[in-house]
Amino acid sequence: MTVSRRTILVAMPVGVAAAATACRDRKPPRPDPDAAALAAARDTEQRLVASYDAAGDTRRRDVHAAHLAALGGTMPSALPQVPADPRGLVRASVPTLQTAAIGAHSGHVAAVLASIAAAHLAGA
Amino acid sequence: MTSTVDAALQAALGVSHQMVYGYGLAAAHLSGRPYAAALAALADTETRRDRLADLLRGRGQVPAAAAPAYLPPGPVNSPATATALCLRLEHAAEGAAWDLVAAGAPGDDVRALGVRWLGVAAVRAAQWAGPAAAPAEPALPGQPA
Repeated sequence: MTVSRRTILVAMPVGVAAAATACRDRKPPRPDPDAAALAAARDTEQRLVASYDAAGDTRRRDVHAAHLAALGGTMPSALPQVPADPRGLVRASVPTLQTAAIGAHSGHVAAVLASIAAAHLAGA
Repeated sequence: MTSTVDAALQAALGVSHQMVYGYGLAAAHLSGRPYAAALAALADTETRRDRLADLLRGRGQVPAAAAPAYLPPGPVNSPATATALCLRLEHAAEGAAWDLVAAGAPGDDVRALGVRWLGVAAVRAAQWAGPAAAPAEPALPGQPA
């Protein structure tokens, strides 16, 4: 049997894969580089949902609940602090969300953050 | 070789070509404030179209040329149909901008352009839709269906 280069190259990854698996088992999971931006955006949306819920504005509540869901969040059991001026919070969030979108590592996260910023800019 | 970024840029350029044609068509049936808004959107779109073409050239790509004419989705012969066309143009812009944001790299010009464009398009869409139609506007502008 001729041992070709291809055979060697195909055979090697088995050992490499085993070593890599062992290494992977020992390493802690890599932190999500977008976690902080997502957490900040979720916090804002939770406060807006609570605010519009309290005000009985179901249309705006539903919009911000959709934003919260897109960010992978849910409403906490303990109600978050309700902003005194929810429209002001919406406006103030736009540059923060846009900056976070531009810097996000994940393209999908970036698009979600940019879209929420756009909705806030349009008066959500 | 064409990358995802190049494809998103070409698609955005294609939407921009359609918007330039569409806003010109719509403006002919508008007057007053809506007419001024259509002209402002047209000028803004022309600037963005040229920027998109520059970005493509900078990546070694040939920007797609505009078609001589485009067929609107329905007759455009009144202020109402012209306004409806403007709304559709901005919804298309939202989709193209979303794709640019998703395709761009962190901090690069493509991503930044997409983020700004998505905001502009959402604001314009809300204006064309009008306050009564605002609830019908999507919660996440540009998100693929």
